[in-house]
Amino acid sequence: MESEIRRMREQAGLSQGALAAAVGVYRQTINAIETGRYDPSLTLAVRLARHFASTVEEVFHVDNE
Amino acid sequence: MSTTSSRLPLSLPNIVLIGGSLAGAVVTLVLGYWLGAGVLLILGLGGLLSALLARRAGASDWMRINAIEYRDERDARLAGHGFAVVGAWALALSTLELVAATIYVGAVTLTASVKGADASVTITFTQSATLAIAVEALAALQLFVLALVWGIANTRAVRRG
Repeated sequence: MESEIRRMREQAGLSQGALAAAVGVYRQTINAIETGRYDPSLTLAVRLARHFASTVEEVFHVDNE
Repeated sequence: MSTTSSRLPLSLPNIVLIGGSLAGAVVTLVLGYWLGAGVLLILGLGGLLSALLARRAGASDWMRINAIEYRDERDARLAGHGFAVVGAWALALSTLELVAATIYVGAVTLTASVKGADASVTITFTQSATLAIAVEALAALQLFVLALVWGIANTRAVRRG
């Protein structure tokens, strides 16, 4: 699944590790989401969206599947 | 599948595996079986080293999953997929083991002979027969326990949706 995580993270000036710590996952999980290798759980998707003050639809592009 | 608790120095399965191996090494050493104690010690220390390496900040996915040190939901999901395959193969191989053990018992241990006009059958149990039956019983028990755990795990997974 494609997402805006990398763009939003870089805009916020965060490292993958910092974002991972903020949402309670491991750095490699953020990397896997950014590269489209891992689809997060609903809980994590909401947590990530909230972190960037966005909605899940704005962060994750399900229609592009 | 739960992730590693931060309160514990190692994951619970690793505590059981490593603790069991090291405790077994001590008991075996007290009994004077040096080789067995050495094997269990290497097993325990190898597991401990693997777990500690997997808990480092830069540990790879592969290392964390193989060392049973899950850190987040992705680790748990990857491990779940891996264990599902392992479980299916373990069940299949255990079934084959039981089949092989049963055939072995039939071929090696039961010496049946038909004698006389009334065709009475004499079955002779040798020492190797008893051993083979024990092997078969062990294979059957292993398959039973594996199937039981498989059923419980699947039932729980389905209930959780």
